[in-house]
Amino acid sequence: MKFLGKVFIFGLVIVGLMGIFNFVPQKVEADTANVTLSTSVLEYLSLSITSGSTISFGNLTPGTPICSNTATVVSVTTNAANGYTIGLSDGSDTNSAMHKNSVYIPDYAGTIATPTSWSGVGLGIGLWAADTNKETKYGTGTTVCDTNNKYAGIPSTVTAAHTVTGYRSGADTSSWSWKIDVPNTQETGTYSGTVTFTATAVLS
Amino acid sequence: MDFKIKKVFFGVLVVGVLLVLEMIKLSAAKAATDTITLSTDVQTSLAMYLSSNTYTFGNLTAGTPKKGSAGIDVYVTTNASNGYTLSISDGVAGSDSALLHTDNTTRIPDASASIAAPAPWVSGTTKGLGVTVYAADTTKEGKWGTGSTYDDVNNKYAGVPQTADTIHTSAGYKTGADTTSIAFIVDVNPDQKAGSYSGSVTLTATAVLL
Repeated sequence: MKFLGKVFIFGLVIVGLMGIFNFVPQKVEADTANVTLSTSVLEYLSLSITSGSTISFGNLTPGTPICSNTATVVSVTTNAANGYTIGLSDGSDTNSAMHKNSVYIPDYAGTIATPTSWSGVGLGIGLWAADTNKETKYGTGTTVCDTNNKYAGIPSTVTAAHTVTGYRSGADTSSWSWKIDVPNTQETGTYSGTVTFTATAVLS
Repeated sequence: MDFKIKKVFFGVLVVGVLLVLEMIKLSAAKAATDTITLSTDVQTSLAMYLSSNTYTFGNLTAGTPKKGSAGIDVYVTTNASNGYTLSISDGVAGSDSALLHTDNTTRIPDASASIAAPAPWVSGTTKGLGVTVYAADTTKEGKWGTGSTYDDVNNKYAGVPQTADTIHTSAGYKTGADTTSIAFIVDVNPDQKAGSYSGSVTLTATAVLL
């Protein structure tokens, strides 16, 4: 009997305390929802000549080729998943871009398909360094005027001269060497001209 | 003999009086009252729903931010005496956002500003995925800027964190649904891999109990 009394009194105390502290057990209430976001990032490509946009060969003596110690460095940034190509053109078939009025210096005989070690005359270009995949056809040179560089004449219409495959984050650069010589029949005087670099994203 | 008769009469009288008293007592019992104490504890409830569960930015050209075509209204109904908080998360670690390329590897980054200190979106400069609160029934926080529409240039944006962080607090008891309007923005660097990106962010409303 005494025990039951104690239990009763203890119960009264608990109930009293709950009342004093207004203690009512509650669960945390929360709710969640998801938002699905989506976007399609479009192709982007930019090309810039970061150095060597002007090449000055200086005085040229026929039969004594000049290699420019200034390289043309081409920087391409693109988000293309399959990379890009760099094409070269000068708008002139057998002649190079360099002319004095209607007189032209010829293209170097090597082609972009098959560049050759320097031998002969004309204006030639070679790829001597690339961040990605320097093509072996341009020789084993590693400096701008390395004798192991191979050169090609520049075609009239845009022809792919360097191909970068796959997605690249950040700028991708390629470094180009210029070399020139003329036959001893080349008319004296000052020659100049423009060569165009074209970068094209590879979409598929 | 008279004495006996008197005694009997007295006895009958006493019994009669007792019967009358009992009848009165029974009658009084019919009018008795008592009380019943009723009680209940109304539990906290909370429900949330969105005006839309999708947010489509469309085609994105690097350097030209996209804001979608409309914001999302978040409706929260709760009986919590102290209101509720609204938080956001994407479950993605580091500086990456929920937006994942179909290659399942490449992500668009988070906007660099935090929810603690959202920042204006500088077109062409600010990159990543950002979220803003551009309207609220109850006390829109000043840190989200002075914009009032989903594409307002005066909105301020923050990256979406990996774990839930509070973007809005609605204090006090509210009858009916309380609405908060949010919007997103995205831009990328030129070398962000081209293609389709998608992903989910999670909104969580939590009742404030204390």
